[in-house]
Amino acid sequence: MAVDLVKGDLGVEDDTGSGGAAAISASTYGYQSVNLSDGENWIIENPNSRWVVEMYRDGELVGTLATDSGNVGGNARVQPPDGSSQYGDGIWWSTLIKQDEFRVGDVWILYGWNDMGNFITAYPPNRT
Amino acid sequence: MMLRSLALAAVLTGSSAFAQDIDCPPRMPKPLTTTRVPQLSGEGLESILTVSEGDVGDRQVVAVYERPMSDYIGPFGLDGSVEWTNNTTVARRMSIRLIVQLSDGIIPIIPEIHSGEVCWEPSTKRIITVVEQVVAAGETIEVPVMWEVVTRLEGQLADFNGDGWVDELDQTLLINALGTDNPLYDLNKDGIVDMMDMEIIFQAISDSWNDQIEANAGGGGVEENPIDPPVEITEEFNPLWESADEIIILTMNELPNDDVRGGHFIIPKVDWRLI
Repeated sequence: MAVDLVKGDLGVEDDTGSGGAAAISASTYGYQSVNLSDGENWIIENPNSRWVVEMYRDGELVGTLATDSGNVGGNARVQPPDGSSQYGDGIWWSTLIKQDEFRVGDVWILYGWNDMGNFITAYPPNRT
Repeated sequence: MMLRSLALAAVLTGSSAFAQDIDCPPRMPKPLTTTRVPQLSGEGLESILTVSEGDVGDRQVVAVYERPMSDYIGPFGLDGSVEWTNNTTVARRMSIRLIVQLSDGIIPIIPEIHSGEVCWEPSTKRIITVVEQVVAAGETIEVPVMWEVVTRLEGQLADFNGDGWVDELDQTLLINALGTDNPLYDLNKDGIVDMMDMEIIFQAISDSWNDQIEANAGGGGVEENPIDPPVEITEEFNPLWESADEIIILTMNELPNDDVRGGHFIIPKVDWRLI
């Protein structure tokens, strides 16, 4: 997995879950996750942070998930890193493509806002 | 206080000597505080910027210089400057000893023109540079420091142009030096570049090899071509979300086939784990 930190100062680092050290996990329970580390201006354990996750395959958008997605319900959204025992310092999002269907070249893009004030309120976006 | 600059620059010339033949001066008595910072480019680590500072109250020295990574093979240059300050009431002869350490298995070929100021310490794998300057009372002097040597793989001295290969290009360089006493091409060190040296280079012509990432190692997965090289990051983020404080792009460049699977290629090193 290649990680490109395009903007901001958060890092990606290994956590040490029961399956061994890993920064990125794909769970058979329907979640995928990335473990983050604090940036200079952002303490990662922030339940008020807002996140959008997009997945692309062959340049085409497969799907979009957001912390406060209005078009999805239940667990089908992005869980911010809240420091809890359940989610810890990771972003967890619902599976858009199952792990046994992954292909080389699949891309996930994570967008994070550190508070509601900067978050885009209109979701889902108008893509026309 | 007066500031003036003196040029202490030299370029690589045809007359060279094997670095092992040059003795290095010993360590100097006053230590410097030295910081080395890797410099990044779009293609990754490219050079190291070094800042060394010393201060004994009424005299200071600051050296700032940049040079390639320690494992670089080819033209290997140091470029920077040394600034001395002498706030005493007498002129002082001030000197500094700069250190560039090379990786194991790499040695420098140092041109003779630098033999007075640059030398090689094989036991520590260090290129030592000594710069000396008389600094008048109350004066600050900045002296540019610049040199260029050639680094080679140890045991591959016949790679004259430092491109990693002993090949026809190196043969051509040697042919052009036939009949001279240029030590750079005098491989058997008999004092003359002749057909004996040509014979040595014929025996050192490089074989070649290759390897590719076995992306589907371990079985499983759905990748159609398991020996494709890792995918370069070419995605751009969606401008719709450009107000985000953080944007992170994850690109699958190797399929996770095992429960714990090592991925790599781009900093930071991370694993993809299936759970």
